[in-house]
Amino acid sequence: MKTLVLVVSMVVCFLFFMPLHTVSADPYRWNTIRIGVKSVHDTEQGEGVKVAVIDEGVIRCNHYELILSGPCSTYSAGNTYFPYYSDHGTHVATTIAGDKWSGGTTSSTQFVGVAPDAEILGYNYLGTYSGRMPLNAQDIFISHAYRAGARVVNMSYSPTAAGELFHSWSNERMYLLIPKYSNMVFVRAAGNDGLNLSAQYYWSTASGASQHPDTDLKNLIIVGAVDRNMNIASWSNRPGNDCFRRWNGSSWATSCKGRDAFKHFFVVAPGVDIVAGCDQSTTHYCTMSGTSMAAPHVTGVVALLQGHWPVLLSRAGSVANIIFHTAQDLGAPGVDAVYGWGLVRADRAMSPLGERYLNKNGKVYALSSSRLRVSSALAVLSPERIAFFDEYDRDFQIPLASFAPSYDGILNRWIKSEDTPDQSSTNIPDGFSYTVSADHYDPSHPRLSDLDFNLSYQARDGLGWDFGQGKIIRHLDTAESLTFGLMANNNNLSGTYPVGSIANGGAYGFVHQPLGELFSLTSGILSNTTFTSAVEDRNYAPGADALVLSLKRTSQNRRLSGQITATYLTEEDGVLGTGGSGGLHFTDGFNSNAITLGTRYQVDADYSLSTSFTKAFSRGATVSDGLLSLESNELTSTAFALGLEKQRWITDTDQLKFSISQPLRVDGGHMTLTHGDFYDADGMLHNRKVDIDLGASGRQIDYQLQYSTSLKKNRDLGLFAYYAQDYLHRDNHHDYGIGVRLRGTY
Amino acid sequence: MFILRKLIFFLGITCFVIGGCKTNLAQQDAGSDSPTHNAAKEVYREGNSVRFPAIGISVELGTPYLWRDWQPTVGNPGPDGGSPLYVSFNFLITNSSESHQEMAWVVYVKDADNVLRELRFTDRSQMPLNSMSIAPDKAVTIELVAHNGPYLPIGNMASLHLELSVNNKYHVEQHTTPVIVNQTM
Repeated sequence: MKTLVLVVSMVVCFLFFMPLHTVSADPYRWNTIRIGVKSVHDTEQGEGVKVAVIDEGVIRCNHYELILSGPCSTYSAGNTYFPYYSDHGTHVATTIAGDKWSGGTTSSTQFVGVAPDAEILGYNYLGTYSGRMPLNAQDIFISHAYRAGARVVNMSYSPTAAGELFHSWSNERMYLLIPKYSNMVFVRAAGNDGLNLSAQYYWSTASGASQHPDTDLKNLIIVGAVDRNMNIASWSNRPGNDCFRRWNGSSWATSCKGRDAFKHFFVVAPGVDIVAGCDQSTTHYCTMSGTSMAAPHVTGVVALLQGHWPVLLSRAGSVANIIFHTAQDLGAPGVDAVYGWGLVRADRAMSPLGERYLNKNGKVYALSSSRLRVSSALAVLSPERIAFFDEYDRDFQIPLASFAPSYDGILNRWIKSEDTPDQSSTNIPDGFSYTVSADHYDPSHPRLSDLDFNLSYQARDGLGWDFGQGKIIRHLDTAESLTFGLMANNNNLSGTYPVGSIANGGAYGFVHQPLGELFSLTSGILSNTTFTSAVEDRNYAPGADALVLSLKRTSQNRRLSGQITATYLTEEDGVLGTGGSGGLHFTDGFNSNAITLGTRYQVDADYSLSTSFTKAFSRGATVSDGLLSLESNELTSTAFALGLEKQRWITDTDQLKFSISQPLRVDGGHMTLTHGDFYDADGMLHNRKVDIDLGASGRQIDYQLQYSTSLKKNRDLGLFAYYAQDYLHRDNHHDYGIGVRLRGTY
Repeated sequence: MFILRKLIFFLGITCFVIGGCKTNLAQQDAGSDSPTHNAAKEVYREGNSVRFPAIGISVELGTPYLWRDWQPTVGNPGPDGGSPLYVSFNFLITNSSESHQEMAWVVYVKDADNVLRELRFTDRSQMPLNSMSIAPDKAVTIELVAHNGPYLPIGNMASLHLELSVNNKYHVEQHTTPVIVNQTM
């Protein structure tokens, strides 16, 4: 028994700690795992980005990790102090841009650089052993790198005085260079003295410098080092609470102003026991620790950002802000005196940040106000992608399929569904009754539109009417076998009222009038002008109103009935349920007329068949100020459904439903999708235009099966399965699911 | 009567000398590695902790981190190009008494040849930090950094040797276990 407990405990402990174990046990890539690089490499590796590395000695550009990556070169500008290969510089360069060699050794196959395709421009600035270049050599190097196209520079070095970030102001060139090259990101190692950075007295001789460090140095990132447990290394300098002190006209400020504190420029990155390429041979690797090793991680992430979004090549301050605002908070909450903004994270940096918008020809639409919704009738749009932009003008692709009807979760909803919904029904004398349902009502977000109610009247002579709010389908004279499963949800564009259902979900009113013994007439109005307009609410449907007129005839023996239904639909913004506003507005008053023919045949007391066929004609004026514009001002669409319902099939209490249906599908037409695609390095917006043939490649056919039966002891068993062939009317695009439900009442 | 006075004086001197010797012995014992305390129960020491029960002070020593830096460019580089030995060291002082206690320390680095060199410690903001007044019923973690160690080779072992005193009255010596000298770049 003890052994069993021990084994179980070991397994549990192993499973619980496995992710941490995996990270900490990998000496070659724990650092890149920690900062989320691997997931980014699928889409971006820094191709075309030039990275300046000012360091000591000559970077071994013929190291296999570098020679197989982007180009690499070292520029010395007469540095005779240290004309040799440098392990320090090579380690830094391979951390940024290694990763293309898998020569069979563990090191070469396991090693991962941050931006493997970036080009290294090495600058031999320092020589630890025998001296260094003059301070103004940095001017020459940075000017050279800038002219060569580099917009990020890694500086894994520090002044000789412990705790200082730069030299004293009178000797420091960085106060000139950082504001002067404001399009360049300067990544600076914090130093390895184990100290808080000491006050720096800031004065810039750069033209146009504001003398405010928080704006003049907005393109500066200071990097400290953490270990694999994300604790600050004991030797790493920290930002502390001091700052770049301003000159106030007569003396240096004695306190910190605004965001001049070092912590607002500070992030941390892995810097303990980092494995990377070294100088002794083209296949040499070594392990090093230091903020010199941490800084290139940040530089590499900057290269990834610049490679993916060229517009950032001219916006260094934005790059620094992205790095800061996407860092993983460590230590005390918020920006603190030990970790600054926290751990640099490549994966987060590559994600949208701040306000999001759509753009077309300079016209901006807030993404949050664009209630994009792609109906199944026009689901052929769903493979298309559009670009939205974040606060830093970075483009992100979003598939329109995200807003197409989704069958995801339908099984879950069915499993959780109640046979007796959360509603109260009350009969009032003289034929009146009312029902209130709180099925969709969320007390934490109370909305009137989520509260369904129905007031009905049924006279003895057959006259009746319904008035209320919410889903109307179940109140209509409809074949039950056509409205279950998928069709019972908001995707019911293949049921008895496929066009009218677009306006379903808001207020409604219906009147049922018998016309003699065999005929009846149903007329009604639906309006889905709901009160719901929450940001990116997936259930939001643009305003639509529908008029429905249905004539029904029943045979003498009541076993066969047929109905013809005329529907008139007017949509405020959209066509056939494809709607939205803001950037996706594309129609201006679209009307649809539809004819639906339906029959129901009661084969015997337990067995019935139902059919429905709809043809719709849509027409309206088109406008072109939105991202989507409809080029065809007339559309035709069809839908059909065939249903079977059988009770007492195997047992006395079971019920079987089966249907084959085709959701509403547009026969043909054309649309144009035009949107801002990306900003180039000069900040110019490039547009994308796509002509879309609405003639779908496939025809979606839904097969649905539902079986339920009662078991002993107040239990029931249910089975639901569906298969959608050519899902979203796309050829060879399928969806399916199956669920079994066992419920009991206690 | 005179003889009796001489006898009392002699006994007093003897007791004073014996008492003094005991105190010295206790302080020397505190420097050994085994758990021990002085005869007057004024100082206890076990592992990396030291306690002064009479005045409610206890000290927990952290593990020091020793390194030399090669990040371009270092100040005062040695012949091998690296910085002097840097030391980062923490300890926790707990004052469980009802009065302020003044804690002071002198710290040496001891190399493999048992050569001692005094370290000048500061806090992380480079303010010299050799003593601290601990408020009643408080625990304080002291973070010390020194930059004036010897140019010990990377990979060598060294330990810290501490002289702790409370209120300049209670004294004890303690040392840490040897740790390796690391390298940063």
